[in-house]
Amino acid sequence: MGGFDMERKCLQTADVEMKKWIKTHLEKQTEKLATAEYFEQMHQNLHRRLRVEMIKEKSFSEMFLEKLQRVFLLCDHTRVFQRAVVGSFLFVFFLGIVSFNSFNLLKNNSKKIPNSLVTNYESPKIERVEKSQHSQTLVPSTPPLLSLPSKEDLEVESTKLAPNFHNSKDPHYVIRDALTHYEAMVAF
Amino acid sequence: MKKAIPEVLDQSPTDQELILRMKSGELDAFDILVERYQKRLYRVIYGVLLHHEDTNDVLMETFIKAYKNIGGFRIGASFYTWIYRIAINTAISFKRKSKSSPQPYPYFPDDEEGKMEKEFVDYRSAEQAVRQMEIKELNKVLNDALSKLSEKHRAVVVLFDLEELSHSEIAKIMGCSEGTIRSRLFYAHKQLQKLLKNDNSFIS
Repeated sequence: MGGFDMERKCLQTADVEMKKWIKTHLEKQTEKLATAEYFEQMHQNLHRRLRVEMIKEKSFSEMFLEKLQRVFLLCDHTRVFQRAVVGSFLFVFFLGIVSFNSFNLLKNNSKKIPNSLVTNYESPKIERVEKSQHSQTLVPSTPPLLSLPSKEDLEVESTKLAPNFHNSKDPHYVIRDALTHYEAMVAF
Repeated sequence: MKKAIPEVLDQSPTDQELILRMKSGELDAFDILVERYQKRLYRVIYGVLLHHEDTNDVLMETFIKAYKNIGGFRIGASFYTWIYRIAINTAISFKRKSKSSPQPYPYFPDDEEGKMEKEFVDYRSAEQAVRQMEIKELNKVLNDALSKLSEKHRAVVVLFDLEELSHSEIAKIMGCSEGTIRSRLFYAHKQLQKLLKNDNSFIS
């Protein structure tokens, strides 16, 4: 009986000793591996991962609204107000430049076209359009007459436009060139 | 910049308060919870996996799961039981998926330095030097013995011996009956004793 008790006691002390050893062993190891630097790094990584998870779960509009809230609620109000004023001023300035440029452009264009031409041109055009509409409805296969330049005019023009080669004054070359020009015009 | 790991102080907010703050959208509250539990969770997860890199992955996963599912946490329940449960389940499922074996007893450079210094100090005392060597040897033996247990048995050993939790608390964390926990613990201790007895250096 006494021997059994002794054995049991020995086993219990061994068990207690073992538990103590396991505890100190694991504690020592974790203390060495999990340092303050490690936890700091872990925090940074965790924040990054959480941000990614949040982005995954949220839609663009939600994120945009949050950003706006952060800008207008959490930031310094006076700074936001200053930025808004500067921004609006710049926008107005930009609009002013654009409108001034467009006004100048319009002014220049109106100066270039004489009024008499505008009035002379507009009235017959409307009439012609009306007429052509009528003719199209009544007579379908009459193509409108094109005022094509004469062959001589084109020849003269081609000699003017011909490149300054040595043989550019050759009459055959000029006629050939004029013909091709004429053909191209007709085809067009 | 070294951050001191804060212990739960009397004036610091309770877990329940922090969870309520978190539920209302305060993310700083989660940071406090992370700082409060990171060391303990690391210890438990490391006890199960015996691998530093794997422990790091599981620890991160645990916190992310906790953050995502905090909405489902019932106010009034124990937070540490809840987060320990997440950690243990994540570690066990991670182990099943990865099938990586536990690391051998890691090499710590400061161990060597310390040993050198101590060797100089204890140069005259041969007994101390022998003791140092024995401790190092024992650490290796303990690591080998622990790595021979299954993850579930290791988890029970770690929660009982290291975290000093009661059988009922471990049962809640592991999601099984107290009887199962008792039998697992008994089996694990027996196995460890057997493994360590085989090595003559441990129990003399």
